[in-house]
Amino acid sequence: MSANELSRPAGEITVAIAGQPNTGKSTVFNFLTGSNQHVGNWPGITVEKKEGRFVRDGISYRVVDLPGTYSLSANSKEEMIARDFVIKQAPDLIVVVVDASQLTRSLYLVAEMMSLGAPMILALNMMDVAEKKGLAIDLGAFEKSIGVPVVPMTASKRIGIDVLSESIAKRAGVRTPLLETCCNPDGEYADLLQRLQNTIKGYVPEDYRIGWVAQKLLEEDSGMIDLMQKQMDEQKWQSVRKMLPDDNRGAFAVARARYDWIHNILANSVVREKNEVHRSLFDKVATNLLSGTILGMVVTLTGFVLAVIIAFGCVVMIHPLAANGIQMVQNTAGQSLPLLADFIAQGVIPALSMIFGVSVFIFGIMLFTSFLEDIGYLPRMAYIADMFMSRIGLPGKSFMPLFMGFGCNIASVMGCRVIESTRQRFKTIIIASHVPCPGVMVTIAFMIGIFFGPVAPVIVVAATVALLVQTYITSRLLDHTVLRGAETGMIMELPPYHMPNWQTIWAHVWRRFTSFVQKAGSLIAFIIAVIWALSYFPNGNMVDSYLAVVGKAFEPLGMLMGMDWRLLTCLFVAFFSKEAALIAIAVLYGIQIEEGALTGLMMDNIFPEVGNDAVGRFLAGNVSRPSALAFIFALLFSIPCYATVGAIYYETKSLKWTIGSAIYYTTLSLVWGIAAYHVGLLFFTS
Amino acid sequence: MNMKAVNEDMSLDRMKSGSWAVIQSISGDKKFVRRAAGRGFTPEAALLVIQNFGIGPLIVFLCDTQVALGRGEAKKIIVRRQQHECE
Repeated sequence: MSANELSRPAGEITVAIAGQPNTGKSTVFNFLTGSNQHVGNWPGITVEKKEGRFVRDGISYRVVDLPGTYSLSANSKEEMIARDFVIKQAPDLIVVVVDASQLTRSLYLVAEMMSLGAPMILALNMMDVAEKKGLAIDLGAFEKSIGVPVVPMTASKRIGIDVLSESIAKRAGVRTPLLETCCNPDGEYADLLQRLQNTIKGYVPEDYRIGWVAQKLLEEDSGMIDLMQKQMDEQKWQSVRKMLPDDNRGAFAVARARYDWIHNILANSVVREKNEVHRSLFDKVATNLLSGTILGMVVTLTGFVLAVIIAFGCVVMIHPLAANGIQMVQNTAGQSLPLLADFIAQGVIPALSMIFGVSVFIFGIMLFTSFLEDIGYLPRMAYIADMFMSRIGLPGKSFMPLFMGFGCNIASVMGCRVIESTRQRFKTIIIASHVPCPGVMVTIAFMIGIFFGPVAPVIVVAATVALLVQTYITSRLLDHTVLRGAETGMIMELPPYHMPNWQTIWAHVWRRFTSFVQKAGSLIAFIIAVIWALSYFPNGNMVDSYLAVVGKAFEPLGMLMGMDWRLLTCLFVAFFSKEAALIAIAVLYGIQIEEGALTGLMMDNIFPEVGNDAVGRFLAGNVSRPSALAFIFALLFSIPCYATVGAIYYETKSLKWTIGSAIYYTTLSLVWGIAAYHVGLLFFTS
Repeated sequence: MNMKAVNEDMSLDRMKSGSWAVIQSISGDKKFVRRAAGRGFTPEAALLVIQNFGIGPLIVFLCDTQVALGRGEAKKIIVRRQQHECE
């Protein structure tokens, strides 16, 4: 009967996994497909697409994990993806994962799916939690009143996976009959819905069910309004438009009808011992204003310190290995292939060993965040953090990723994944680079120490205030420009706590990490090659390299900030790494006479002696204090390092956003540099 | 259902911790309304205010799910205080 049965390629059945967030959807997907997974992106959209396969009885099933969504409205990109896939790709079967312990909430998506009439089964997950909560579900009655097969599961313990795959095999391609009982409003809205259906009849595209379209119009779903407006001529559309109530009552009538259907089902099939809110002592502590704040800080700091210690240990371990590697390359190929040897010794190996240390830190932070998310603590922390973060226009969930930026901005950018709203996520990603990473702090501390001895505290306070002010400005600027639109505030579910599911956590983090290394890695490798070449050619020296030539060419711009070409070049170098700016200062001012490209010098100075007196005295005699102040502020707001830019690209999947943020930071750097220089001129004579 | 109306409509952000209420109406743009509805906030729905510090977001219990709700969002939800237990 259905078209998709005819068009299904032989031996390939498409199964979509749908479900609300926090229903254990990913765990179901992971166990169903095992290691046979592929992560990509939905076309043209920055939302992750997970696909996998499994084989049963010689038939191959392609499993698509849809983004977690509360409904199928045009509220977010995720919801649009899920709905377009379900309607336009017409999968042979949709597995809707439902949380058995929170049925009222999680059946809402099912109620909406019912109106689509798509082939569907229910994975009734988290049966163990439901049992603990004292819920007794009469599965027979439940299945009968819903009208689709129901598979009880506890995916976290691997219970029910096999029954699920068996049910998938049985039900693929069988359309769900449309239930009269679900989920149309009664009373005046029943009439209205009928009239709507009559009016749009003949205009609804083939893939869509007319009843569902009418519901969506009554909800004033923007996507469906756009679609139908295009399908109908102006006059006809106006007659539809006039029918729609101009308040929110239509939307509520539809939502209410869905909940009524759910309540009916539950009344017939679920017995609750008690339905009261259960709050553990831990939950009370975690969500209390004072203890929650302290706990949040302690937890965040603990994760941070742990990741730093492990990463630092790894760097110390790998350092002799890298040094030996460089020695070996120079010994074996230094004479015969000098260019290649230099490239490997001064470009590839130093960059790799730097990236290694950073990667360990990032991986650690990702693991930690994922763990907190899995056990259900992260939303509680976000709830507390929201009190503070909302003051600068950021969501509570941005606290942890931003804090991790003090270790490495890449960790921030990658960590933004926990923020569901795309708008808020992009905003946090852009703002993340305001957080000074250790490279920035070390370099700035060095400069402040040399130039502003007695007034150093004033400069530190000024820099901190500048950062906070700029963060606020950037946040508001984004709100009023590229991220314009209605602000949708927090409606965040606080899911029940549960034991960590290590397999899911590990699979999730490992997949994201390796995919990051592969994708952003190529961009990072390209930039390393460019930087190496710029600071190496034509003479194999940074002092007269093309990088220096670029610095000289931009000197007029630098003069606006009181910087000569050397200081300006150092600022450019900060794009490579913030610490590298220090080394570049030493080299370009001829304090440290060393041969080679920048990347190689980094390796020799992986633990630079920051407090080097000679360097300090020399610099103090050659650079004026206003210029130094300009350098400090310009560096504070400079473009994030290349690897962070790579991470921004990886996370936004948008060249426009990546380049846009690079230009934004470069401009900021210039503006603050100029401002600091002129303020400096007022206060310092030399 | 056993409820005793106190007949006092107010926005959700003014409800004290520990009080039960039934939603009367929700204002705001369509997107907010649909998002709220998808998470259980609809007229006639009963809820318990678990925590309201007077500043910052609230935690409410919707007879099934705990939800953290921004203060601005809570202002858009008009409720009537009611002695109520979950069905």
